[in-house]
Amino acid sequence: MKAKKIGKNIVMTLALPVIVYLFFFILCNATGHAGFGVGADLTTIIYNAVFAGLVAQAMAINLTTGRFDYAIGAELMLATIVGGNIAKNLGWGPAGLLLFVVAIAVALGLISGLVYVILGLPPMVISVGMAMIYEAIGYMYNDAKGIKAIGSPMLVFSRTANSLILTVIVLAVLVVIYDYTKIGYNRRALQGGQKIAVDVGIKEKNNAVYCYVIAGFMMGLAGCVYLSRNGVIAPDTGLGSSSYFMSAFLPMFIGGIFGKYSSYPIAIFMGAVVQAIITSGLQKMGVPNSVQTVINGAIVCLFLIYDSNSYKLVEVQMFKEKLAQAKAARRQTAAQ
Amino acid sequence: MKKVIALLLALVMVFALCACTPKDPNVGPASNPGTETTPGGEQPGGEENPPAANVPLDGSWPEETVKIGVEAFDTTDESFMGVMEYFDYLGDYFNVEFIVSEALNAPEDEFAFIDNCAAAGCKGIFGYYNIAGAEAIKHCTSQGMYYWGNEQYYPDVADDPLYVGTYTFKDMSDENGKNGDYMAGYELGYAMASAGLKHIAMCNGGAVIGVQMFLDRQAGVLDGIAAAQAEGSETRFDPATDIVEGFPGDSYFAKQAEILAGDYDGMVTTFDAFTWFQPIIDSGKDFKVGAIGTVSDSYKAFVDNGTVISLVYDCGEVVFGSVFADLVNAATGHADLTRGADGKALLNHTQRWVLSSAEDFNAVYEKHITDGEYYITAEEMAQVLGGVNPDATVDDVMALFDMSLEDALSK
Repeated sequence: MKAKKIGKNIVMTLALPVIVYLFFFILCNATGHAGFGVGADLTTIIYNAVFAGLVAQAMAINLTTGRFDYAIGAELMLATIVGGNIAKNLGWGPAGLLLFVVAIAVALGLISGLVYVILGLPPMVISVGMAMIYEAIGYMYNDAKGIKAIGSPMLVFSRTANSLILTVIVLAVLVVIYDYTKIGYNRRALQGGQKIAVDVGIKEKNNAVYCYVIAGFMMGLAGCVYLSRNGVIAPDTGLGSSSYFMSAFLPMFIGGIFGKYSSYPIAIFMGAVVQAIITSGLQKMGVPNSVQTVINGAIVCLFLIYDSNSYKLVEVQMFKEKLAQAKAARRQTAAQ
Repeated sequence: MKKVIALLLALVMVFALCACTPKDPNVGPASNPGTETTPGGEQPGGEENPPAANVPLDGSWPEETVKIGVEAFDTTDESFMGVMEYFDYLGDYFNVEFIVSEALNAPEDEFAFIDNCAAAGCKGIFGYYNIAGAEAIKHCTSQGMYYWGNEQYYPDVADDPLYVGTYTFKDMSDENGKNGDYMAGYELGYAMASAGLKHIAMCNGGAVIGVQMFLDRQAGVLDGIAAAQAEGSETRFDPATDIVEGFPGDSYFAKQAEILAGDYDGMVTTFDAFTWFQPIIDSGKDFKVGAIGTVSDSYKAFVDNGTVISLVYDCGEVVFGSVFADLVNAATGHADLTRGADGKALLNHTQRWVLSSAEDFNAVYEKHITDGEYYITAEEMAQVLGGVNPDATVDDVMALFDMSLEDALSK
């Protein structure tokens, strides 16, 4: 019975990415756009999935407990510019890049979290303010030149093997945090109902700070992957750093739906894979960007609608079961 | 007590108003917009032209700081930063200050920035970027500030006495000449299609969302490629499949990967090419790039190794030097130096440089980056400022900034 359930969970976790992949593979080949999902295309899918997956993890850990953190894009930008330049100047290679970028991103996440719990203002307000501050610092640093590390040997994190190893490690750590630690339990309790959770003794502020720190950690990793792929990051101003997390929503909603079959972080990553496949498939078929935006928006809406109303399906199922039980009881009574 | 405080406040307001009055009512556009100068004629009661020898180039002239607002779309863009570095250099010689906008994303942001500049006492606005078109220019001049820029709207505002001009790359003798963005695209498209490449792609930037500047550049690239093909080039380019739309993002990178994995051996981009270099290195391909960019460390290695074979470059002091001359002349009572013989604002003909060899690139690089020098020095700039050189003429202004790459390299 347990083995059957595990098998079902594995199938359900992998089903959507596989179905979407096969759908576009067939569609692209049928329409004369060969080469989808293999070779360089697969490399791009993996890169997009890893980057969007990391950002979505950072976004999800706060958003699911009611905190929209608008500053995560600015954290990525500032940490990568500052940490990347330090690593580049010291010549510490990939380890240096990872160390400095992640350390700075974690520090920025910690600052965001502390400001939130100390001031007690709405998270959206706080995070917009923090995003503007981080952007301004990024702009002032290095004479607004950002970081240009094109050709540097430290840019290894977007290579397929490295990014997959990184993803596996991150998912393992996140699964442990989400499903086997106090932080994860408390987060879920707060997600279910903040007042009740606080009333039973859960320290909401501590948990919030932990979540901001973890989000910063994820954005630091995402920054390393992004810089490794592109070699440059320019500072953003006027909340332009929000562009870094715009790809986080679909993975997050997919994660919300399929999380029950595995673990929320794994489901988010599967959502990122789905999104990357859709993007590459549409691109392969030559769909214009504007149409792609419409399609992506529609898909996000569909998942959101399903996610928000999925309880109704459960209700219908329960009603059917109860009705069947009632009918059975009635038949039994009549037979007696 | 309240009466005393009210009286004191009233006195403070009166003194503050007095303090705000310009020392010389004829200096600055706000004092009497549009009437202080007669185009091409004398300054009616304007600031007396001091002899050149009496004006030290130590940042003390003009006596009153000339503040200029700068409208920008991306303050971290290398081309823009190059222009501002030149203005910073001039700031060591002249009492001129620049106030730069944040990235302007909407017309309301642009109007708000213009309002803020007026409140900050700016004499003029440099429209490096313009979203609201002629309305932004009118909004600026209606507040008594001069405006420089935007060739596209020149016909609508050329007669406005507070509009002081813009640049143009057009051949002035050709009425059907195309604008600078089109010409930049054309030069790139032609150069890349003439370079013996087999199959090229194009990044069209903001053309996909209808930004006129990018639409013009895209049209230029297409025509440039077509012209090269008509002359026998066998370079393949299909607009239906070979265009990378928009700016870097998920679908942009997906298309980029497809191109680097395909049979393409080059691409033209209508904006900077930074996001291509690392993927080109990772792909291990011999892939050529043509871009609209700037002479900087970012491009140097890729010009030297032959990746960038054509770079359309707007030299800051050449293309945008007239911003300084026109706005400072207007703000210091020499607006006549900003009007042509027809009384309209100046259309400063200038030249966009096409750097198609590492030798040319490195010559400019050494001048700007290694030596920290400019092709138009502060001393040369001073010679076209009426407040410094009373003999300066409109022709001097026009001639200074019409500098070709060959002229510059031979200086």
